[in-house]
Order: sequence, then structure tokens, then C-alpha cells
Amino acid sequence: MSDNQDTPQPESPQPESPGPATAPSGGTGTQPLPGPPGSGATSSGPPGTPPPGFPPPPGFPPPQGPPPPQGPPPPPWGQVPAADRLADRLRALRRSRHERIVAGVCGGVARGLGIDPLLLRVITVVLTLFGGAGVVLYALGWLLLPVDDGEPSLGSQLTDRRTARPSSRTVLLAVVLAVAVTVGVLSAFRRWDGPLLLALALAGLVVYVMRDPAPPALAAGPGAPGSVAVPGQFPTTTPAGVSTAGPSGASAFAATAPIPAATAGPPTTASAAPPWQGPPGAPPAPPQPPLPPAPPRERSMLGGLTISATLLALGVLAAVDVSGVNLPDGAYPALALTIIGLGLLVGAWLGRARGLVWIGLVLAVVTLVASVAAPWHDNHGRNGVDLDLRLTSVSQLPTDAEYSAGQVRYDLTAVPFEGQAARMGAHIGFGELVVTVPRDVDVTVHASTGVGAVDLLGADTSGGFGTDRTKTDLGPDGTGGGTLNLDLEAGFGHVEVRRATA
Amino acid sequence: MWRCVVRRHDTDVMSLVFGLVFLGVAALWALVQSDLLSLPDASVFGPAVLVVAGLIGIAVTLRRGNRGTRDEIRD
Repeated sequence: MSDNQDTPQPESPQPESPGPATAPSGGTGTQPLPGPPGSGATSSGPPGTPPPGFPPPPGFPPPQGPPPPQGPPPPPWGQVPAADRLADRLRALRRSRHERIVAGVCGGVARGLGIDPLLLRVITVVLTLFGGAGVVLYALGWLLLPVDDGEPSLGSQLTDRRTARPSSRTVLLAVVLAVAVTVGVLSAFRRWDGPLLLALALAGLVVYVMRDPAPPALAAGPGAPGSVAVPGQFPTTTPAGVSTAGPSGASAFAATAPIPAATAGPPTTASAAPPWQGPPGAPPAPPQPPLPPAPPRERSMLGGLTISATLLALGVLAAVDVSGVNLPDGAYPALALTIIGLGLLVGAWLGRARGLVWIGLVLAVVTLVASVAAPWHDNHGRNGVDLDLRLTSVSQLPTDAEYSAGQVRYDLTAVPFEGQAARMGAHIGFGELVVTVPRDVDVTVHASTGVGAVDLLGADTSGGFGTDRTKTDLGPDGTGGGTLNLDLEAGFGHVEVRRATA
Repeated sequence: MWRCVVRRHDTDVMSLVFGLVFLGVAALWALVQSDLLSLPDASVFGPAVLVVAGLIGIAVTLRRGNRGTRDEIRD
């Protein structure tokens, strides 16, 4: 939480930091962290120990409360080739146990990438609204990312026979997620966000396939030499969080992560080199340090104040409305949006009210729609086109008409379609596209809007984000009267097809 | 008295940028409704709001430098 800046926190270790230069070389063996017995802090040189002088993450151990999962320090990224670094970073992505709304995907990935979780959440929600890719990506992360406390990913639990048999609930969840991902990815070939979706799905699969093989010496329990969770050390090659987990946690993790001792030989031989430069047979993945349990959120009155002020202002506006003043369309959401925006601006420096972002997003969409919709209803649009086109022959039909903004009405009732197979295409960036077709023509309409509504022959009305409809209508006479193929699109606005009654 | 209610902290770029975007959308609405802005202009003004908010966010982030950036990560 951004209010934390003022106070020293048991801050999380910093994965990207090439730490050796900056911190006192607190002996890594001095951290009194809990761990399995029999694996005492004996030396500074077993496998997995970071280079001497590597700083322990600041703030450990925390003064009280549940011990946070111990974060191993990061490897010095500078020594690793860029491609490996990227792969390692991808592999180090985790779902967060603590920083979560649904399954911790955004929280964990944001942490792994070093960005604000709120940003990822907003992107996910927006991608969900515009086409649904957000859901697919979230499901992908949920399925493939392990949890930062050592729990393997759902995919691993399903496919890795060395782990304990997953519960039926886990299986069901994983199957649902896999179906969602499959459907989403298969549909990606005909979507605007398809390339993004495919690229990320591919990256996810690569990470999944490249995930560290289970060590052969799974039986080497938590107490085994060189195994995970040696207290007093920062085992760079062991997974996040295992140090606080019991034996079950450690062994559950062991199924998906490398344990250096399994392949790297006796501790004495492997102690000198940094782990990531170790034997080629044992490429260790730098794990992502888990997030310590988030401190309790600092209470701020700003959110409550802003919401209250918004309600108050809306009440005043409603009173004005009732008293007979003619309010413009969208006055309510615009006023609320203004106050939410002011609250957020204040929150940039004073107090904290980031939850307002979600309310603001909804209000912004409503206000935008009101902004672009109102002028056409009121005929206020001055610079936008306002066309009434009355066509009389098939040859006049545009195949690819483009309008930037405004209102365009095509009247095709006088076009003789009898015995013809005609097609027409039109696109408007912002605004309204209305096509009136003759009574008897057989129409097939493909209509789409980025944001807005589609009304096809009064029978198929839908709206929202990314509307895409196809409809065939033969008219009251059934087949006959010629055919017309309509392809209509509005980026931000309204598409309507009417059938003339006479 | 205000100080007792809310605490001052380093700039929260997320709040700042989204606040600016929302105020920009509200301003867009007000301009369109008052006929100061026609629709083709609005299709320029809208993206301009995003560009300006983004530039301000970048500027604030860069100016703040390393100071406190890690704290931003935890939300």
C-alpha cells in the first residue's frame, strides 16, 4: 500500500537487485528463521547459498505475527544471459497467496514483474470487457502458475504423478480452467486481441513445459542435506516459501522444483559457484520470493469521504432535476465521475482511495457513451456528418463506405432488389448507422460495434462491449424479393437495421 | 484538522493517472454537452486525455526516481 512509504516496513526482498554492493554482509547464517530440525545453520557454503556478502532481505525476521515465507535473495541478474534471465523470470512467476482477489494471479504476476497489481487488475478487467481475453489470461495463469507458498500449479498437480493425488475439487477446477483457456485460445484467431492472447498463451505453455523437472530424490525430506528450507540460509535455488512450510509443504513443492542436492553433488563441491552457473544438468530457477503477509491496510477516510461527497452531489443534482431544470444527458454519471476523479487526485498525495478506480471506470464508460450519444439525439452535432441517403439502384450501394463521426441513414426502400444478389458495407467511427431495407428483400446482416448497441430488424437488440451479430431475415414473404448482404460497423455508437413496412 | 484525517505520502501514480483520466472524461462530456466541442474534435480530445495523463504519470514516476518505487508494488 502506498501509505507505507513513510514507515519502515518488513519489506520484501528485491528480486531485481544485484544486491552485493549495497548491503552489509550480514552473515547469511545468522537469520533465526524457523525450519525443520536437523538442518542447522552450519556453514555458509552449501549448495544454494548465495555468494558471500549477499544481503539478507531487509526486515527479516518480522517482529511478530506469523513468520512470513522466507524469500531467498535474487541472483545477480547481470551475470546471466538475457534470454535465460527472461526465462527464469517467467518461471519465477507465482500466484500470490496473500495478495489476491480471486486466485492471486494478478498480485503474484505483478510482483514478479515489479509493477503495481492494481494496474494488472485494471488491464485484466478491461480486456475482459473488450472481448473476454482477460478471463482467458487469468484462467491461464490460474492453471499454470504455482503458488508462492510452494503449492504446485494446478496443471502440475494434475499431470505430475509424483505429487499426492489432487482432490476432486482441484481436478474439477483445473478442468474448467483448461476448457476456458482452450475455448478462448481457439477463438483467438478471429479476434482483435487474438495476437496478444496467442502470444501470452504460448508464453504460458513454454513456461509450463520448461518448468523444472521433479527431482529424482523426492524422498529426500526437508531435513536432508542440501535440501530445501535450511534455516539460516537463503537457498537461492529452493522455492519461495518452503522454509515456513512443514514437511508436507516442502515435499509438495519438491515435485515441481529442483533441489540442487539431487543433482549437484556433495555440498563441498558445489559451494563455490553461484547456483545458476552450476552444472548444466541442474538449471535452477530463481524462485520468486513470496510476499510477506501484507500489513493491515492503513485506514484512510478518503474513500469514504469521496463516496459520501459523490452521493451528496448526486442528491443535490437530483433536487435540481426535480425542480424542473433540464439536465443534459449523462449529467449524473459525469458529476459522479468528476468527484471520483477529484478524490483520486487527492489520493495521489493525501490518504488512500485506490478502490475508487473501479467505480470511476464504470462511470467513465457511461459518461463516454452519454457524451457521444447525446449530440445525435439532439441534432447538435455540427461538424459530424448528418446524412440521409436515399438510394434507388443496386449499383448505388456502397461496398465500403467510411464515415468518421455523425449520423448516417441509408434508405434502401426504393432499390429494386428483385432477382438481384446485392451487398453493402459501411463503417462509422463514432455515431449511428441506420439502414432501412425494403419489405420483401432477404437480408443477411453482419453488424458489430466496439462500444454501443446493435438493433437488427427489431428482433435482435444487444449492446455493450464488442458486440458482433449476424442475422438473416427473409421478410414477411419468405424467400424471394432478392437478397442483400449488409456489413455494418460502428466503432463507438449504434447500428440499426429496419425493415420498411410498406 | 485535515492532517488528522488523511496522511500525506509519496505520489501514488496510479491514483494520479486514473484521477486525471476520469476528470478528462468528465471534461469531454461537459465540452460536448455545452457544444464547445463537436464530435470529430471529441475523437481527438479523448485520446489526448489519455496521452496527457500518461505523460504526467511517466514524468512523475521518473522524477520520483528510485525513491519509494518498491513501496508502490504492494497494493
